[in-house]
Amino acid sequence: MWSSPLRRDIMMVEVLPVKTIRDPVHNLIQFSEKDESIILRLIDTPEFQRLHHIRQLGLSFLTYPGATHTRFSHSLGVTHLMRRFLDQLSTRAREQDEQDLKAALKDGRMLALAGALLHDVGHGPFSHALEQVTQIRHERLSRAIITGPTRIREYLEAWASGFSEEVADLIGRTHANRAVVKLLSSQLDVDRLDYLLRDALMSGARYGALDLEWLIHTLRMGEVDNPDGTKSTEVGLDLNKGLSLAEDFMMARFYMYNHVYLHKTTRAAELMVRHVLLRAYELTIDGEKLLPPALAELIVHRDAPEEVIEAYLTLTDATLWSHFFAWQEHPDPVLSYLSRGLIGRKLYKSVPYPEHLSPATIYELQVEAAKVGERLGLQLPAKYALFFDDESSMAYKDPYILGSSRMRHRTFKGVPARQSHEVLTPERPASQPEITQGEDEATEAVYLFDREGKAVELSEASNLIQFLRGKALRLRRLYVPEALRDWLKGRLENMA
Amino acid sequence: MYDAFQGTFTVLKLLSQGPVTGRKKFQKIVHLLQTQRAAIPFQFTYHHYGPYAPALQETLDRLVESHMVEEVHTSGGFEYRLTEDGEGFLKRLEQDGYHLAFDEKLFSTLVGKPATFLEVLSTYAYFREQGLSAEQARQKVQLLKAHLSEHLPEVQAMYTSVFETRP
Repeated sequence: MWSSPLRRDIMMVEVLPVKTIRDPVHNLIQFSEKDESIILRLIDTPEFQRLHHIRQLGLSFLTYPGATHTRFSHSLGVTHLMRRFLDQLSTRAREQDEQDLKAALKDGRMLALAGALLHDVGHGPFSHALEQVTQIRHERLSRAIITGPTRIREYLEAWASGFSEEVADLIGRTHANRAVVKLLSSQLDVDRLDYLLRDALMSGARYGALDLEWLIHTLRMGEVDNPDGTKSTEVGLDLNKGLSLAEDFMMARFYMYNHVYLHKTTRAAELMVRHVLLRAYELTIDGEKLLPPALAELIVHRDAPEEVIEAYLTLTDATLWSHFFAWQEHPDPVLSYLSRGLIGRKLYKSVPYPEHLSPATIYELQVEAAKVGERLGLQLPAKYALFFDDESSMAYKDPYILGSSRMRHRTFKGVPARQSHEVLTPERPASQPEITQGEDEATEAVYLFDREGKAVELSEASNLIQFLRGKALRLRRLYVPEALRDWLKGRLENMA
Repeated sequence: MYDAFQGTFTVLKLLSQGPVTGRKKFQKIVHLLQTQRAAIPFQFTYHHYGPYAPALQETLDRLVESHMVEEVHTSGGFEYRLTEDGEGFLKRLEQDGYHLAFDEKLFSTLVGKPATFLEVLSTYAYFREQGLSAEQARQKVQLLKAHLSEHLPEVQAMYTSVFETRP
């Protein structure tokens, strides 16, 4: 009875070992123990397991109590999505006879999966707040972990010689396989897609929900012209089938920025963490050993963090929270005030400030805030009495949603004009200059591809997105202790 | 270490040396000064045109909005120059102890170079900073910037003479 060929096939399917993980966003995430053994080995390394102890959204749980998910689950989700993207695009590439793209995706498959899994491995606790303090980008720490004396490097090199450098290059966006780079890092990448879906689900603010199955169905890749005459490989959606979904995707981003990532309460906590670490550092310079030793070492070695990577790997959310708890009783009034605020959720209060307020005015307001605070019994020097928050201090960068003036002025000069479709192509207002040189690049845009593979930038195809991009979300705010809020409001009204 | 006004101060201080034409050029100059260990608080990552710091562009945009930096659209691109308001705020910050040590002569030299040359130099320096050897960095730039590779010999010579001899 075992001689039947059909029966043999069934047996083969049954015996293929698969590791299955339950996930709230994707339900089942599965890795083949045979073909993807490297991924399973990487997951089990101590460096990757550390991500269990780094919350994906840092301090958002102070606003959305459910948002306590970790970079570990996000990284698994990104790897899962990467495989789905690769499978879909490989199928499309075959249909369209795009042999180069097909080859790039096939050759880069394991690279893409390993890069997706490890893309956040360098993140520390309260990622952006910590980056501001150490002045070291998490990308550099990721590279140091992936190519340094770690188990991750050992497994990557055992898989293929030189593979650790390749994975580090992919995460640093400098790998020559541009198709795989863009799948991991662009305006429509697996990282962003997983975090939107995951953060929406876990926070309970479901603005980020979108039709993932249709998005994957309409995925495309193609070439786009850059202003400097070069071409970029870009991820996009099918123009006819994916336009509504692309709009949905941008609206999801807009709402998540507005309501979750840049929520005024969360931002208050993030600014307080940044400043409590700054204060601890100032006291450390004065001789007191206050900072967690791993963090102090990292700051001392900021020009060569590779040398202290083992210490860095001991730094987690718990390390910093335990210090905040301890600092509540510290004799320094700034350190204890900020720590008590973070632990007891007595956060600084936000006041929106008018567009015309210049950095010079804010600087003077800080000085005033300190004086007013002193009269009210607060012992806070100027830079701790008033914080300000604008786009340059935010970790989230989004040219569509947060639109710097650069983006608002931008024209997509290299993109071929649409000719025969029924979507609208608004004219560029004459008052806006055409930027012919600069840092703008194709990767800062979302593209739609027509049947011939011609690209159109999303806001040229959609009135809705054109409007959204023109009305860039501005969340500039000043923050003061609650006792100073009425003073600040009155002061700003007087300036108006 | 973080300071909310250090970025603003850096842009004002650099533009007080003289105007710079081109956003890309300004990005690359700031990156190269940072490579020379000037305490510049912007963090650069790799983009299509090489190392790029979004926060630097945003800080520059804010200063333009606040009329501390003037942005003029010229045939050679956007020109940035300090205004009187900008000079006033720069002086105020300097009185309060803000300072930036950097190689002023190098700044002038870089301002005089074409943006494409700076793009290659900055990219090459970025890879050398990551620990790549001269040959590895050259190959990497050759791969990613094949269309600008004519600059490579001069870039390598300048990197060796200026950046490898830094203190």
